[in-house]
Amino acid sequence: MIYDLLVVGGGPSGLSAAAHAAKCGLSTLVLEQGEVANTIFNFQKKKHVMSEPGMIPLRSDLQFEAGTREVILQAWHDAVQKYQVQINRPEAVKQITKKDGLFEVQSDKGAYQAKHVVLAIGIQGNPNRVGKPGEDLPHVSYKMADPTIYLDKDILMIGAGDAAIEGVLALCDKNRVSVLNRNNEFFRLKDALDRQINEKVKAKQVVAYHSAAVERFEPGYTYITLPDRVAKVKTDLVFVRIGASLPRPFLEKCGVTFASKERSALPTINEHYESQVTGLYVIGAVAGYNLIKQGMNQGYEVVEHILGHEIKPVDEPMLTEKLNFLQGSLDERLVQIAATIPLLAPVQKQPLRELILQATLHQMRGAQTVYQEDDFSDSLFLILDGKVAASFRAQLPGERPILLYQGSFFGEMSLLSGRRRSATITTVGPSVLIEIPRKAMLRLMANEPAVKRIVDETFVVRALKTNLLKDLEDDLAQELAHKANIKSFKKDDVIVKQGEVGDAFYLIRSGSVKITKREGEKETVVKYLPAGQYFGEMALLDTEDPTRKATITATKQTEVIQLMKEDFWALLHRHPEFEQHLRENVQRTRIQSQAFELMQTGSMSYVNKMLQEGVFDGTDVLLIDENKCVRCDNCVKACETTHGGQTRLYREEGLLFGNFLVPTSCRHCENPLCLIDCPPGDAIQRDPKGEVFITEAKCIGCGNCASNCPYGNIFMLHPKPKETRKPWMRILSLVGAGPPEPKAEDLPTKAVKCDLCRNDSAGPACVRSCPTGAAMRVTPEEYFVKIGAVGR
Amino acid sequence: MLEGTVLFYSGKRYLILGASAGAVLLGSYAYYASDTTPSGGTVGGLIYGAIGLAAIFALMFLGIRKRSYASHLGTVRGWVSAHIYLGLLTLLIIPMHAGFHFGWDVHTLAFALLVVVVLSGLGGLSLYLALPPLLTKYESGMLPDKIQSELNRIVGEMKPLAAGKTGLFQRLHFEESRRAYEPKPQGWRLLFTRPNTSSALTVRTQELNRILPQIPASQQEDFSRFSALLLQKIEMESYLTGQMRLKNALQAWLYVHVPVSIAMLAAVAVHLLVVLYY
Ligand SMILES: Cc1cc2nc3c(=O)[nH]c(=O)nc-3n(C[C@H](O)[C@H](O)[C@H](O)COP(=O)(O)OP(=O)(O)OC[C@H]3O[C@@H](n4cnc5c(N)ncnc54)[C@H](O)[C@@H]3O)c2cc1C
Ligand code: HEM
Ligand code: SF4
Ligand code: SF4
Repeated sequence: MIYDLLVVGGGPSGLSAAAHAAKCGLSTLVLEQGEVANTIFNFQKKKHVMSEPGMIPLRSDLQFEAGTREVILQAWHDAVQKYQVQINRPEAVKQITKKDGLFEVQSDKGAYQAKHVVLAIGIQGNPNRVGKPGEDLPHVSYKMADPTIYLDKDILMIGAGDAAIEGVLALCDKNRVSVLNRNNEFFRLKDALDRQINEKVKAKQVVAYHSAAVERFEPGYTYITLPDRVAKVKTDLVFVRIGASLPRPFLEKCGVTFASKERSALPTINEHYESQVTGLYVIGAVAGYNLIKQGMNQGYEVVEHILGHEIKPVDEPMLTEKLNFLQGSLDERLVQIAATIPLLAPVQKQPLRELILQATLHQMRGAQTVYQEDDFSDSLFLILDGKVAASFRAQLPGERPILLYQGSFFGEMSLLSGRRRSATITTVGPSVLIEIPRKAMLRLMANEPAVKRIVDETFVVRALKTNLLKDLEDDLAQELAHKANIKSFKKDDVIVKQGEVGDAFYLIRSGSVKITKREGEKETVVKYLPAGQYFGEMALLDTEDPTRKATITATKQTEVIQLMKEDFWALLHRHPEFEQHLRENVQRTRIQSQAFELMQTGSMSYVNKMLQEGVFDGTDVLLIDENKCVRCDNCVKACETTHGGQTRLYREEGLLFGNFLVPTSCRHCENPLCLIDCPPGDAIQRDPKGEVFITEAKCIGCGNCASNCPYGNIFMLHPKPKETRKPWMRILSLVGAGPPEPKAEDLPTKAVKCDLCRNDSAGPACVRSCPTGAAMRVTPEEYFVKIGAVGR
Repeated sequence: MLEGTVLFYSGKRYLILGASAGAVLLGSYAYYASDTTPSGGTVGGLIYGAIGLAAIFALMFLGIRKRSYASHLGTVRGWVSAHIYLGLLTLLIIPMHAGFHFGWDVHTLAFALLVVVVLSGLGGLSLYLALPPLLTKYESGMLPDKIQSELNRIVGEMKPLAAGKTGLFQRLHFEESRRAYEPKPQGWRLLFTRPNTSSALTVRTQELNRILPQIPASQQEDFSRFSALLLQKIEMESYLTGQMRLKNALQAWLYVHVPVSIAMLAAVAVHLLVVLYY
């Protein structure tokens, strides 16, 4: 038979599509490789599932409200019954081809024909891989359907997130289980799991390898890199549970295209979620929509589209309202925007809708400040109407501010580098600005190479002007920007090597580098350079000895703008005064770095370690000078008391550098990795002052931020329940009567972290409560320059 | 060397303030003593008394401020800095109030207690300045929680070695694991129990050497591994106790400073009652 609609994947998105189709009389089949709603099914028992985003209504024949996993699954099962949705299960789809207007869907059990296909396969079925030799051996597996079938085996679990630990706990009673954790302890686990696994480890039932990584797999053995050695561990079986990502090869096999080669690129779909293959729709998590409600709405809308109903997307009224100052239909308004702002011209309709949905529109009346120099915001602004002026603190008196006009954009510096704003922007007269959050912009850039190119080139032009040479002519800047390469380096990658002949000049666009010198056996860190600084000029200027005098290494994920030697000299020929300036600087740095090398006796070497441990990534780090700290724990008590009895500061757990302790407490990173993957989008965010904070009401407790923080500074905790009982009820409970005390475990876990006491104008309570001045909040870059440990 | 300590808060602010207040007090006293016979009952004496009382309240208030974590009233560090200089000044103000007359009565008792408080304060201050760097050296490399988990690991590794071995071996293991879980000496007791790393280590080493011949040859290899672990454990433990001792010393003095200051306050109250009613 030929189905009207074949749905691949019976998750919330797929079920919503199937239910609506069945209700409307389409012949529908769902192919599901696991349980119904496998992803939700795999949630922890009793997990509280949230229904974000709250402002968007639900459009589906399935019910979905925030509630426990059990209630939600039951409601969906009921709906499947009610609409008699046919689900074939377990059956995995292997291939989808289109022939003569009909889809041929091949599964592991059979073949089907359908007029339309909805791909709603989520991403959980495509687990992240270890990427080490031997991972394809048969005993290394990414799935564990039933933990009870293993007996008396040596098993290694790779990963230490909730899913991995749940697996370990299920296995460890009947087997010898070890677990490989890349962090130095279990820190991102739900409370109950944490307790259980620690008990098992203590009882020697489970062996934990912390700060560990796989070196390679061999039949029967796994080699594990530990901080001090490589261990050979006996393993009959290996399970890998380290997160999931988009199943791109499968999608491409089905004909779905991607806008770019970037890892984060998403399938190309139009406003009806239809891929380049007509009749093949991609919805839900696999289309890049990470929330249940979004996927369910899309399922419904796709079916409406198939039925030929003109249905406006749910967000249509919101979008129209957002653009209320423009005329015409929503489409016309969007076209108007794309026509005004060249940056948006290459953007397709659906991504443009997404962008505007996430954007904020600012209608400014007169001269108003958009942001201040040194603010910590990182969004991009597009000028839809009017003009703005950029001014700098370091400006000479009488110097004119730089003007930007309708159609151009600003804010790309902080967007790309994650650093503070480099200028103050004020509107000049009435203007309309579109502010695009960083996450949305990066997503767009990953998907629209044309947009990426414009932003990148503009960045280079402006970076050359602000960081190197203010008077650089526009045409030359453009030319250089066109020729420049943007290169990215991972932590510890060597960018320039001592002794090699230098052939390029570099400007750091994001991240940071350290400069080290090797003399004989000894390697000393001479300097630390943050984004905005340049290096590599010395070897180019020195015509007699063009070798590199030092090694330059990325201290974190770093992007540099590379100007090749000829282009660099083209710049110097046009601007001899700049060459003069550089030569003078070279002299000065030489003297300084010699002084620094002399100074670098034992006590200073901790700076190198701090760089390694990412302390310099922080913008606001709690440092405790152990030589002054009297261990009174008043700081911890202060944190506890001012945060509802839950401390976010663990003084005795941390890293010690010489006499400086960096306790476990948020560092408010320059590039906060914790922000990357928050499904509601803004439950964890950063305010203009650089503070990273969590809004409890928006947090869905998924734990993504906690696992993304490389420093273990976010904790998943049950919030303290509010005391709802009256005093007399509490007295009753003392004698065993009256309502029970509210239990913390009844509330869903939420992410909790240091918020720098942002609601208190006087600043962090820990620092204000330290009797000796041992505790301080500093920007490491500034602080260690001040005490003379690093600097240019 | 004292740069950046509590003594020099905000550019020696309170040091300068304290010193100038001292100078003003001395000047005013010279003037006051030149035309009156100083005593607590004169107008001048009463003024000094009132200042002294206010100072004592301000000093006692540190205890409250230190625990008002959300307070915006300066920083605790500033308070401690001011506290130290103001505390020292009381040694000037109160005798001025009394006209430097002392006797065997409740009034002088209050002053004696004050002296004890100030002396303990000075003692505490020296501990605050001297101990943290020592403790840092002690901790370098290993914070207490790491030691604890290391200890757990060692005890865990000892278990399989001792399992199924001779009674002597077993007993040794039993004692060690019991000791690992018995509460560590705490509070005041720590100040008086003197852990001696090197001697404890040598004593145990000798003991183990003595036992070794009594262990059957087949178990000797396991026993020597067991002994190595045991010695490692003892070293860790003494390390931990050493840290605890220093930490306790940092707090112990407050058990003199605070109770005596409260006693002093009570004595002052009696003193006020006595002079105002009789
Ligand atoms: C721990 C955790 C907590 C979360 N909490 C929340 C929350 O509180 N609120 C919220 O809104 N979102 C939450 N999310 C996100 C939410 O789970 C996803 O957005 C949602 O499940 C996506 O739905 P989907 O239908 O697109 O994909 P999925 O739910 O992943 O469904 C895809 C289905 O397709 C099946 N499948 C895959 N490949 C094939 C194939 N080749 N053949 C046949 N079938 C296949 C899978 O077995 C699966 O059943 C959470 C996610 C995680 C991991
Ligand atoms: C009349 C004199 C004094 C009184 C009444 C007094 C009272 C107090 C009180 C109530 C506390 C609070 C302790 C706590 O709550 O933990 C305290 C702490 C302290 N006092 Fe005094 N004190 C006096 C003089 C001094 C002097 C002269 C010094 C030093 C030279 C001093 C040094 C300190 C220090 C260092 C602290 C500890 C701060 C901390 O760590 O919390 N005091 N004192
Ligand atoms: S939570 Fe972690 S990643 Fe996020 S800002 Fe703080 S330290 Fe950085
Ligand atoms: S409050 Fe200050 S002295 Fe006390 S433990 Fe914290 S850092 Fe150390």
